[in-house]
Amino acid sequence: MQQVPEATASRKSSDHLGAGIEGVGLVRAFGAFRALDGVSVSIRPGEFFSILGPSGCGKTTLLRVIAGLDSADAGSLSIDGEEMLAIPANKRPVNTVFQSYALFPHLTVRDNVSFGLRMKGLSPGEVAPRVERAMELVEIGPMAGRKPAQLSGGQKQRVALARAIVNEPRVLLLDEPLAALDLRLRRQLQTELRSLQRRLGMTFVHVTHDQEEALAMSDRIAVMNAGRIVQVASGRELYERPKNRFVAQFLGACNLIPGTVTARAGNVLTVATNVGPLEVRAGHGTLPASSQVTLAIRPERVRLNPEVPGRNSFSAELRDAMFTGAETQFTLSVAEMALRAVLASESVGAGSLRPGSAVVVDLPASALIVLED
Amino acid sequence: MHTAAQRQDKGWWFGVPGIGWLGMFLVLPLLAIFAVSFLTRGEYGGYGLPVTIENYRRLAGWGELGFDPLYPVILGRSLALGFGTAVLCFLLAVPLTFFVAGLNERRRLVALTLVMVPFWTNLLVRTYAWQLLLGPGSGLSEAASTVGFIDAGEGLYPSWFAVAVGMVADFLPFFALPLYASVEKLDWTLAEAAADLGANRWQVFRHAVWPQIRPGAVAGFILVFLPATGQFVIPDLLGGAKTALLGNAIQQQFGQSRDWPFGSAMACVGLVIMGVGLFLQRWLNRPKEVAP
Repeated sequence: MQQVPEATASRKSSDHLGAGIEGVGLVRAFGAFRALDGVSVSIRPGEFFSILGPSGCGKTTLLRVIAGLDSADAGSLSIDGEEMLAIPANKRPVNTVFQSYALFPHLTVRDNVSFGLRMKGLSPGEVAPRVERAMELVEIGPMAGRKPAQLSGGQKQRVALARAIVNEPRVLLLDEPLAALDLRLRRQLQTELRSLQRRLGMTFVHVTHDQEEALAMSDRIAVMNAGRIVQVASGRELYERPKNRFVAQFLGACNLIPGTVTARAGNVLTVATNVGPLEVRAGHGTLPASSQVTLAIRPERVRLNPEVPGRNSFSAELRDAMFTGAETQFTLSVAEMALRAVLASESVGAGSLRPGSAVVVDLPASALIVLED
Repeated sequence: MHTAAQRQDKGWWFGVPGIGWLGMFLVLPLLAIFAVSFLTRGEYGGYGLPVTIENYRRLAGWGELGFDPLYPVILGRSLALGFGTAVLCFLLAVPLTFFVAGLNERRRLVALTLVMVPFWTNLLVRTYAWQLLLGPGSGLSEAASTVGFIDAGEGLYPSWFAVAVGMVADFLPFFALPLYASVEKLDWTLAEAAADLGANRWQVFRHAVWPQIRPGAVAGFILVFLPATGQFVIPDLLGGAKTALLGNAIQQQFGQSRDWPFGSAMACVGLVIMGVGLFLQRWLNRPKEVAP
């Protein structure tokens, strides 16, 4: 996408275009099904905020409630401190990029992009330059006279984006905007969306079920499940410090090891597991002895045949090794438990780690995560 | 395997019975009427030479005693009746179809069946029923006089109001069914997108809903306007048989007046006007050229 002209960019950043969103106890029920089951969320002005979750978790409903396309049965919602639930969709300072794009099929690209400004009653003289600028920003200028049916998926996506941002909304809502595109285009548009958001300074609220997409684009991510927000944090924090099994497994691969707390010394817990006793950093939670916990460790944090065995080192049998290019994935068996480990292929000596061989596996205390459930 | 072109070659033969039927019973009679319209009425009815355009001159208003607007008025009145009926049907069909499309599947089926039920009864029977329902002393007339719509003791029938009721009751299904087909497959996300972009309720309808249901509305309009323009039974029975319309004027020429050439001319003019109307509609709705 093109550079924003200097004047526009500086004006927008000094205006603090993005608005903060505050949702408290939002409930939305469809019959007996609660799509939103008490959602409280705080979105900061100007951040790229993703709502991540499996299909049916309520993430699209939350977006629609913010847009005003769906009502909430309970709770409150404010944008920039102003209560929104009683305000109809057409009066809210938000615009949406729909999953299906929802471009008007009977209008040209230019007329689609100018739609919002025309509805506001702006004069053609005011509308035209803003429309041209928005179309340039997403590089659809040459398609201005075409109808949506004559565009490719990626081009439609750009038109939908231009149609929303031309209105300079305080908040831009994106409902799985890249889901219909092929992988390569998706990666490219992820980068473009991210840089567009930085330049425009709008608050982006982005709904997706693609964890990689959320990690790549967002300042912060809310993970949703069954109508509730499970955890809100930066992508790195979610990955390194997931709160519970759901988050741990939804974002990336994870080894889960159930166990019982046997001792506590300072902030170091000793947990009895099938693998053997494991030492773990306790974190902030207060876990009394004999409470049941689940420990999690990312496959890439599992160490094989360490030079200096640690306290959490055990002997294991290597079951399977799979070369996948940059990485090699291993399946290990420790005390009837299967563990997964991933090593950079470069560091795996040729022939040293073969299926059937005995290895020492180390689960560093700093890499073990204590989950809530 | 047959190519599409080959299939089309063979398919031509399947069209023969239909084409033959239409040729024999539609095209030939129309050509005959067209030819007769340029002939002269015989002494005792029938038609004969000389060839003349006198019938069309009379229709346009050149009477034996100077200008007489009788026939242009009849024509205009018929077109107004057809147009008015189509507009009333449109105004009623839009809310009706949106209501039906919003029902659950089972109720929708019932509602659509109810829309079509009038087709099962003879037009005359239905129209006589309206006479009873709207006549003096009927419950509806009493109610109308109570609220001051008509004088006490009078009936809603015969009147233009009764004609409108009868026409709409007869033609509404022809408008509602094609319109329903458009409303049912309406893409509501476009309406949401319009609202999201700041459109108020009217603008949402005008810019996001109307373009989608317009083909259905146009089809319904034509299906009502054309037959309603030629309709004369309902205006006769419910309007009090006081006004001449295209339909009964033509019937009169072929019947009582025994002036086939003049009746033929009337029929031809009616056909041409409707044909021009259809062409205009097609032309206004033509797919627009799109710049690259």
